[in-house]
Amino acid sequence: MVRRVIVRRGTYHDSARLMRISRELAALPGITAADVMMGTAANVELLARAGFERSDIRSATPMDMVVALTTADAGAIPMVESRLAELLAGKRERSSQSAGGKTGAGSVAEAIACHPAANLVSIAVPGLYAAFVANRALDAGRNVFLFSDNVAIEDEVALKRRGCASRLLVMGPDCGTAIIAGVGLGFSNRVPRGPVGIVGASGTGTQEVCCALSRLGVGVSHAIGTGSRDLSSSVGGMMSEFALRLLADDPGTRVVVLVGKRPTPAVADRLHLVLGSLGKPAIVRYLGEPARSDADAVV
Amino acid sequence: MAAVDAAAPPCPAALRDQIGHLSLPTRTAALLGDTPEDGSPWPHPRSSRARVARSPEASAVAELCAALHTLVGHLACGATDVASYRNALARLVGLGPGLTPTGDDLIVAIVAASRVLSLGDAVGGEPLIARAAAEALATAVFALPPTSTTDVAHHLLYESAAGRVPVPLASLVGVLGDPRADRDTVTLLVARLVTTGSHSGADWLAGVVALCRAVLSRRAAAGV
Repeated sequence: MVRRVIVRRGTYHDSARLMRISRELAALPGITAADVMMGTAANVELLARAGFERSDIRSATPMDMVVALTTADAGAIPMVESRLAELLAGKRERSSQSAGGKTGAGSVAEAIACHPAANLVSIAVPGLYAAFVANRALDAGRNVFLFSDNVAIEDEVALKRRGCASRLLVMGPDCGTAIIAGVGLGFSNRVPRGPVGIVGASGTGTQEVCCALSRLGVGVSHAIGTGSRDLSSSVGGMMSEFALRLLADDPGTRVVVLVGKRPTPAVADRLHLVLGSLGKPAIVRYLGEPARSDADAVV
Repeated sequence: MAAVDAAAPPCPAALRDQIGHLSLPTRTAALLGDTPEDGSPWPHPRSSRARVARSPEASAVAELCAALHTLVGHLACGATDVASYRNALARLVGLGPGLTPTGDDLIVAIVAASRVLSLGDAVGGEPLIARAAAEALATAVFALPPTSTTDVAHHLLYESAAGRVPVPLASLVGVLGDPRADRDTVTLLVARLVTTGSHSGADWLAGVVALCRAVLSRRAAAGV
């Protein structure tokens, strides 16, 4: 008897669908059993004890679909893989056709395959799934605009750490606006391009700065949103710092603006040091506080 | 989602009547270790088919059944150490088929039912489950790492520990041991529950029934 595992990364369907897939595959000629489960640690251990090769399933994660095949005929396995692909493709076609008859990608990987030149993934899915999708974008080496909220703070910290390490932007969660190289993301304003680079932990604050500059005839190089919690103690201004350093290296940016609610003193002090080290004039606007024009202080 | 609550503390006699007259789906009965082999696609853990096939799903049923009875046994005995619940949960979490694995559905239901059964009983006596035991279980569920199961299941587990569960489940546990909930009412609520999802409803029912039986058995053994 041959036991073989097929792992489909990031493939999750409702339980009814999983059950139908299991029954369809188990009914194929030569197949003794086809168990479809999610790749949780408990199920991986279960499959290993059932005789499936541990090395084939060790890398599965809870959001991966695992198909455990038992067959007396190893030659039947390619047919199962083909039928599985059909079943999953069929679900995607029905989903995309239900959205106005246009075909659409069913995963980040498929979307990138359709648009290989894209260097940013814009994500607006329920918060429960947002970190998972954002990680798939980072897997593919893409920057992330994360409109979703209701993302756990632990996930936000992990995503931003990963983004910084990979030198990729993670704008959000709960990031409502950004302008990157003149392209608006989320809710944004049509403003001229120019020498001012903005890092915003406040979407409305970022929009106000952009519009105020535009009324003065001054354009924006980039307005990088960080999400409302970036300046919190938990996140520590991680993406704000990364974005500020990007603007420092951007030849099209001559002045840098940081806008948001005032963070804790520890976070503020660190960001002020960063601003002072950029080598470009820097302005900080903490919303709700009166403006200061002290030339010797950042704020 | 709905908050888990009950109009009145559960009455043991009413609970015994409710649980004793339930008609259980095959899947629920198999998880409880009830039915003999019946040729259903969800093999009973003691069935010859399950032993010969040794399929992952059959193995899962056997493990789920054993782990389920261990967990409800802790609650029925009034265990209050979080570590024992952590160990019991580790045998269930993420185990079994489904986007919300069966083991997680069992935990969600047990947490919900334990919340109601830990209310004081109808005559002002001791609750059917010690409040501290129910709280120890919830504490252990809160501490389950997100990586232990699917995102959806982890969300449900967390919500259950916080006292919120899907409406059909909240509706059933809310009438546990309520003398005003007659058999027809309970039958209707069970019917609504088991049609939820492809199998979650049946799995939730197994969790509820397992806990109720464990509590009632312990009372019977103690002559209460």
